[in-house]
Amino acid sequence: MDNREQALAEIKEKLKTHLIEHLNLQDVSADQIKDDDPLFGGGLGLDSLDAVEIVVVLQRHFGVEIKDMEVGRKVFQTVNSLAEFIYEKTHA
Amino acid sequence: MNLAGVGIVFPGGAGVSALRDVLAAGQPLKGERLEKEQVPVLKVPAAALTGNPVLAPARRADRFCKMTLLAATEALAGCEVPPERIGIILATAFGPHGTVFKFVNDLLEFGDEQASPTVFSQSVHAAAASMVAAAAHLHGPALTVADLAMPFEEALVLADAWLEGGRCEAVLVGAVDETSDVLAHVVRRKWACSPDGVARFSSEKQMAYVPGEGAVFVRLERTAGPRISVENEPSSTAACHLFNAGALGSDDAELRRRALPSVPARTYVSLLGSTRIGSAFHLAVAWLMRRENRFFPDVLPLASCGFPGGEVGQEGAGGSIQVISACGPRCRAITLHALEERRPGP
Amino acid sequence: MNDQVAIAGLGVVSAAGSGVESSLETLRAGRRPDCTICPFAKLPVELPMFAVAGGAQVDRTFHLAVQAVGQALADAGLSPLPDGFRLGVCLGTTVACQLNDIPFYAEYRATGNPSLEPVERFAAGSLAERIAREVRATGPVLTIVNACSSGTDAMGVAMSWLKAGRCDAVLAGGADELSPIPTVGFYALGLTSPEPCKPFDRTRRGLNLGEGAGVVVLEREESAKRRGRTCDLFAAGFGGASDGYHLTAPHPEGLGLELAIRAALREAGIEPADIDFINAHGTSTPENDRIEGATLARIFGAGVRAISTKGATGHALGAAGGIETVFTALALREGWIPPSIGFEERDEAIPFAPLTEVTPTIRRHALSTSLAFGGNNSALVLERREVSP
Repeated sequence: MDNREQALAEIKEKLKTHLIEHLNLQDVSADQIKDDDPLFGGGLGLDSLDAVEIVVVLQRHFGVEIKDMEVGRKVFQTVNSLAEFIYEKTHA
Repeated sequence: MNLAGVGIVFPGGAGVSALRDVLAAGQPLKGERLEKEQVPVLKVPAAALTGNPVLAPARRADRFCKMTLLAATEALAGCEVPPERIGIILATAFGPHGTVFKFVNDLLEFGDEQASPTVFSQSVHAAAASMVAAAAHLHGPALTVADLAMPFEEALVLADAWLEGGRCEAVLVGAVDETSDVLAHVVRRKWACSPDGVARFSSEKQMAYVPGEGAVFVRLERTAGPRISVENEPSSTAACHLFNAGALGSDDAELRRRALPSVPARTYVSLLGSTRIGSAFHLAVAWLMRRENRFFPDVLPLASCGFPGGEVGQEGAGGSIQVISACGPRCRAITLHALEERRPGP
Repeated sequence: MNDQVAIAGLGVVSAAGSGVESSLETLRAGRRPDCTICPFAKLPVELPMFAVAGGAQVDRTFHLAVQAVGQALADAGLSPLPDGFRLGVCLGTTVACQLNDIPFYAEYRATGNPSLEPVERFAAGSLAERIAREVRATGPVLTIVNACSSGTDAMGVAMSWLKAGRCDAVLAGGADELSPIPTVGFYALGLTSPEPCKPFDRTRRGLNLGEGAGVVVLEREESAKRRGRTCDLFAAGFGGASDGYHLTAPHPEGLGLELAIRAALREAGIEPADIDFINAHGTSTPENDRIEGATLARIFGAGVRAISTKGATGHALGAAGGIETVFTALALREGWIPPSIGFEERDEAIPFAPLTEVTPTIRRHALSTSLAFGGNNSALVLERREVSP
């Protein structure tokens, strides 16, 4: 596993923990959230309020800002896409 | 209007069955001392707010919302009125202030730019009633009111107007308040707390606050269940007066002045703690006494506080029972009418 | 029993003006008042807000309410109150119901021993309780904390009280001040616009917060007549309904709004075709205006005459319903509908464009709507009647 892969894996793990806490996800553990499952319209039942909460998760815990919700819509698809975005912003 | 259902969450647990157990035991609840403030507080036990399937769909419910959801759902059980004809009126004094302070705390901690939209949404007073409507798919009017004096009594009277005016066929009227470290701090600074952790009727010499919390909902309909009404004075023909003593910020001297020598009197403040929702709690007690046709043991007899009234036995709670509250010079008496006074159905 | 509810007095203060006269001037000119830039939140964007000029900073909501209450009572000929007159007070607010003083909490957090002055103010009573004390009202008292529909809900409560014979008249409406908490909260929700709001416009980007107070004296017609007052305006019907859907998002089909409007029409005993114009909630958020627009068009047809006055006041939260009731009543009385400020470009997703010119009206009924956070919806039908000479 190269550095990028390792960094992404760490981001994903941290991300899932914070998503569970901030979005008040019940009866869901970090390992139950699949990296490429759709976050919205899928099993987690996320909605518009969660979308704006994820913006705060990224700011508070990763120091990454989403200034435009159009960008948000693209990167909020899966844990993978979120982690990629965080990685690009923090390792550029 | 008639009292068709009751739901309750209080420091003794969740549900009418928990209330019955605590009443039957006849012992006061003792507040736990908060480490931070060294103030005894009667909190709803954490176990009462977890694991109930009622809470499962409401993942965003904060403590205030959880208490509300549990009590409202219990009061709604068995209701046959269509959901678009069921209204909600939630009365509170302090609202979800624990969440308001959490939001403010986050602003100080993370800055304005990183405020949580979810916490903000929960901090709005109307969030709890909204969650009840969403959980039970209710489409009648939903109203949240916040006053310090007697919002629960006002809410009951408004519900009566809604029922009589045809706006609703059933109304869930609730009183909800929570305690918090900040509230305990304020109580310690402003008033005197009970030294032994038991909330009781206060005398001129000693205020005996133990901050408490809970949610009580009643379901009102036009015909189902015993009749209730709200008056401005205690009635001398009542079988029993339940005094809403120890209300946060109130002086019980006014209640003492309202006591009638001919009517036995009690208070169950020691089972709820000091709040501004005590009248709703005592109404739930009265309703349970009526349903079980017994008065339950007296917990801390008022006679020791100079009350003139005689004792009631434990049996035969069939006469009218009144819940008496006073705030400043104002008095309200919620009457749970005697069985024979039940208004005939349509 | 005559249970007609007359509007006996009007009082309003907002960025659009203090008092009925200056508000009418702003509304008629279709001129957007100057916005200020939000001074009290550290955010990466500058947020325009609609502030009321001057006034007390501490306890501001109460003082805004006192202004509007004073105007309304004077307009109703109830200043001073006659002996034995039973006046109720029902006022909505969002900011004043919370113990949300940031310096208090900051001091508590830092020292564990804050000044209790803000607590004392809070413990002095709710907004309605304090106003009742101020004007020596002896009737029922309630403070409505139903988020953005509070002011309109207060009208509904007042009408219930009056129809049940609980009092002779009610001070009904709402008051709110600009405050950091809702500013930051609405920003976090992505609902605030970095530019002045454009209700129902295709390029609308969100709401601007506002402040103020709008209060009416609702009075049993019998009582008003007994006092020798002539009544030309009436609160004819109210409806409230829940979406039962979501904590922050409106029901996608406007279910609760439609139920509320139909209930208000039913109580007023009229049909949708009888409504001449609608003073809509129209906050200028993408969601609200799309859903409200579609719902209004579904009930009243695509030719519906609707406006939003939030382009003149901002969204004054708990005060909005009060302010908009006053504006709707004034429009009926004056015989013209004010233009919807900020609208330029038609949104194809909304079946109508709001009125952008001063538009004459001679018909009798108008509707004012409020949609709240948490999914409560409220609708109020106002009626103008010819005053017989």
